[in-house]
Amino acid sequence: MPTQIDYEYDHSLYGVEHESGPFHVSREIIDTYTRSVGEDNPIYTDPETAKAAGYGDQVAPPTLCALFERGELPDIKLQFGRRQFHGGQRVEPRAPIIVGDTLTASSHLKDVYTKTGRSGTMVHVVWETTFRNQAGVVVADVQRSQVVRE
Amino acid sequence: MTEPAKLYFEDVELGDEIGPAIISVSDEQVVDFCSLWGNPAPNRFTDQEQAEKVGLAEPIVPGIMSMALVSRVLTDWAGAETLADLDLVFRGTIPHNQPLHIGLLISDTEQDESGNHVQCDITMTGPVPDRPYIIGTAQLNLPSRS
Amino acid sequence: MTTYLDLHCHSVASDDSRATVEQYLKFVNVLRKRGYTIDGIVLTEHRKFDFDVDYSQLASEYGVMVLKGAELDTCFGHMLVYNITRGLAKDIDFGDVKMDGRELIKAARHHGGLVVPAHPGRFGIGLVEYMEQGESFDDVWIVERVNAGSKPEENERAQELCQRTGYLGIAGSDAHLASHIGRAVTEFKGDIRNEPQLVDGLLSGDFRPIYIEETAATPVG
Repeated sequence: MPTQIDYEYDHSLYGVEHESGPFHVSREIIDTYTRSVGEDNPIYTDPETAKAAGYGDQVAPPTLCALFERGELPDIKLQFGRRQFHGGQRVEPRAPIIVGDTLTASSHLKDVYTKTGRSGTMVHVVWETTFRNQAGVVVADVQRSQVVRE
Repeated sequence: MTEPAKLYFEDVELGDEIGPAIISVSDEQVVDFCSLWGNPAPNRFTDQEQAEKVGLAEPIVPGIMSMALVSRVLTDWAGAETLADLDLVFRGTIPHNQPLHIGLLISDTEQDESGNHVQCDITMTGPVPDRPYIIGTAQLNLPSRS
Repeated sequence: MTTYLDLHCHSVASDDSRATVEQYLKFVNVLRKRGYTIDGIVLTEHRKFDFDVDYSQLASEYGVMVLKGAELDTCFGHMLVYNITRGLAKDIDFGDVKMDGRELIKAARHHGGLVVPAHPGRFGIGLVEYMEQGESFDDVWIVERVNAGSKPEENERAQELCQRTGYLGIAGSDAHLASHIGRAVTEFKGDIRNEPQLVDGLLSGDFRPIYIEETAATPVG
């Protein structure tokens, strides 16, 4: 059940799955990701170590798929605020993401609600996304909370 | 898979504190990270002027990048295959080039037929721990010695 | 008889908390093993109250009292509400983030409850901000003087408010994580076992806000 709030937005988005992708998980993406966050676990950086550990190839760090969700979510046409920031993020890895995988994402609007804080009134927009690989296996469930401020 | 276990369920106890790990993020790292999601520099994460345009005092570390840093601390400690759930609330903007203190505290341990579950409370703060940039939890599934 | 209660915490029923009630109760026992005293917690979920949820079995299992209240958003900042009745819930829309705080205070008293402004020194949202704008609150005489989730300077503002006005002060952790439970508690001189007794204890004025360290019989090193 969506929360009732005072501000207008597109309620028709509830119950609709928004499909996006495909997202190709290249070696370059994983290497840039691991380099930029200082990740040095060889499972994530070295194909041979990953293979020796039983994986088909180099493994993506568990939160990498959140990269693909960003920018792919529909505009809910909220009649409030101008400034947005990232309020929260949840990632539940379900299966390894490997170099060469092709992911697709299925997202739906979970909730829109209002609260107040140090910076005044805020509207939280919460999306849930499921990522699957080319075999249809769910590799991660992701939840993103975007906050819109006055 | 077959990565040797770094940590066993029996190694942790409710109330144990781990860290804090101290990390800083350079301007170059943020530029590198932003190139990954179709938001190349300059933007509010990399550029002073762009940051000020959206009401920020300075460029900040993106939320999903800070999540990757937390994930790194967790898997460095517990092993690459242990993270089952990472759930973060972003409470403050995270600066570049400043020490970020990422602390873990064991807030629950549970064994059942689905595995050996450990929950960690997570805080990321600056050097002064009076107001966290991030709070959250992680669930790790650990192997058992028995 | 002294009762130590954490009067402000949020379980996963609140949008921004990541702790279950059971995890709080487990962690209270971690604190007890470390030598601290805490008798119970009051759940103050954001913008809601669930009459049906019953924690008595968990409370019994872990030996920790669990009482229920709420933290409501109002036009004068966040307010902690204790001893919530169906009558109050009928008169007040708990989800209305712009409700009139003064009306809430009156309605709660009318229905046997009590409202305590939360983190009054918090910048942008605390009662002090509204008082500085010229607002006055005749029905307020207790505020949350110690909020373990606030900045030190925000708690100093709350303390200054109490010194200036003579308001009494309570304390709560404002925990959103299991390990943050009990960081600040209210010490009552008397036995408190349920929500009506909590309101009586507050009305008696015989309480004080303290940090958990002060509950240790001997210093915990």
